[in-house]
This record gives sequence, structure tokens and C-alpha cells, in this order.
Amino acid sequence: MIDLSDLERDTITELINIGVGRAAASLSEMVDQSVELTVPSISFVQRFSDANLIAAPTEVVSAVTQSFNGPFNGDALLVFPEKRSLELVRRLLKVDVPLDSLSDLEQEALMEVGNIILNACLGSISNVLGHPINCSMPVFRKCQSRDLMPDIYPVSRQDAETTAPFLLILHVQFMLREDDIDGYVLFVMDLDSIQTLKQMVQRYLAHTLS
Amino acid sequence: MSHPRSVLLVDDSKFARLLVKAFIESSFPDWTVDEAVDAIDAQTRADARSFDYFIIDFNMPGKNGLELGADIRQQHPQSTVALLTANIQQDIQNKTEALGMDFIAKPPTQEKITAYFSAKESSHD
Repeated sequence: MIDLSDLERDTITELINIGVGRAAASLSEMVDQSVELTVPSISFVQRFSDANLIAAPTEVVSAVTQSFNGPFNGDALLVFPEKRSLELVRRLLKVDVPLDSLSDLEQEALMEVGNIILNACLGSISNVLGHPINCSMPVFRKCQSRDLMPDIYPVSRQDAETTAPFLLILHVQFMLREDDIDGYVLFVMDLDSIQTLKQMVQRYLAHTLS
Repeated sequence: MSHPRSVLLVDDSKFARLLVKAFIESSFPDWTVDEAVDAIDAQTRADARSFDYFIIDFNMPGKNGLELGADIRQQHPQSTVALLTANIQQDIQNKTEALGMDFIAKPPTQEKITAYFSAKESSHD
């Protein structure tokens, strides 16, 4: 188990808050309404499918994933329930588009939203820490929410109790009340990256508090 | 009243091009707006005719927007080149500025796009 002090955990949460706050501002600009956010939750798990943050593991979702690398590596995901994603696309398009081409544009629109939101998040974190972070091209997928990330290191049931958790998952939910659309942003990082992030946060704290 | 201008939008996202084009055409109905899907496509179009403005996304397959922007700045120094990107990192903004390009943060909105071109046009007059 990675050891984070209360202050370090709080600082990481605050970093994500800043990032997601900027992302929410971008989303709000795109849909012309306010976007509500939950407080980010941090959990450590052995496998992605262990994360109990997903209320409905078999729900089909539309997801945009961007891998990032730099001082620390990981994946950022923007996830919407599939049944509401067309509604979101309709809100995003401020120009008239015939209904039949709406679903053609669905993937394009959600990828671009994902690109804007995830970059806003990662970009503001990078700006706070003062280190560039590279982002890959966004990838769009429809799948069950439990399959959003592959279980890279399958853990057998016997090992499960002795093996230390090695994934950190940050989860922030957001809501567009006017249109009853909600979704969430996930950051998934492995232990090495969390160690690096922890060191950067320590340096940042030392620098800021000095 | 502004002169009719020509704009080349370079973005791999069809959705992004659709929005920005609609915003420009609504504020500047007599302007022409062409689209390119990546740096190679943009270079071909820039070789074939001149453009007053290049609006370029950063994160694209092949050359990124800064690499393309650097080429365009060299080949067409009279054109205005802007990076329109979701990547708001300070590092990217500094590099954009160093190349003599403008920086516009995504998401594009009607107000933002109109304000950008209006400011540019009034500084030309």
C-alpha cells in the first residue's frame, strides 16, 4: 500500500480539483449551462475491475480515453452512459444538423469533448506542478463500464489477499442538471507513477510552503 | 466593414471544424473558410492558394500543430497563424508565442471566435 500523508492526499485531491474545475468550466462553456462536480475520491485497487466506484458494471458507456506520459504516466477517461450521449451531442452542436447525421457526428463530438476536458484537466495539473505532460490522441469506445480498462496483471484469488494494490483511481462525477446528463472522469495510474507524483507533490508543497 | 478574408481550419476533428466554420461564417458571412484534416492536407492547400488566416489544432496525427505552424510561418510570413487547442499547458503557450503564433484555448465559442477575428481585423486597419 502506498503511503500518502493526509497533506499529500489532500494536495493530490486539490490538484485534481483544479484540473477538473477547469474541465468543468470548458464543458459548461460548450453546453451553456452550469456543471456540478463531486469531490474527487481516491482509491487504491489491485485491478481496475475491483474498483467499486462503478455503480453499474454492466452498463454500456461511451468513453474517451487519453494516455498521458511525462514525469508520471497513466490514463485519463471521460465516461458517459451511452443512452444519454446523443442528448449531449445535441447540446454541444449549436448549429442545425439534420437528425440522421447526429449519430454520425456522435463519435466525433464525444472525442472532441473528451480531448478538451481531459486536456483541460491534465494541462492545469501540469501548469501547477510546472512540468509538461504529453497526451496521446483520444480513443473512443463503447463498452460495459467494468471493461473500461483492461486488467493488465490478472491476480488469482489466492494471491489477492497478499498482493499490494498497485492502481490508483481518481474518480470525479459531474452533472448537467438541466439536461439530466451525468458522467465521470477517471485517472488511473500505476504505483511507480504515484511515487513520482508523490515526490512532485512533496516538492511542490515544500516550495509553496517555504 | 472588414474585407473578405480566407481562413484555413486545420483540425482532425470534423466536429471541431464544423463548429468553428459555423462560428466564422455567422460573424463574417463573406469570408471563405476551407478545411484540412491534418498537416499534409493543410500543406497541399497552402501550396495551392494563399490564406489570410490559418487556425490550427495542436494534437493531430502526423505533424502536430506547432510543427505545421512553424512551417506555415516560414512559408507564408504575411499570414496570421493561430493554434486553437485544448492543450492549455504553459509550455505549449510559450512555444506558440515564440513561433509568432496566436494561442486560442478550446472550446471554441461564437463569442471567442468572433472576438479573436474582430481584434485581428481592427489591428490591421
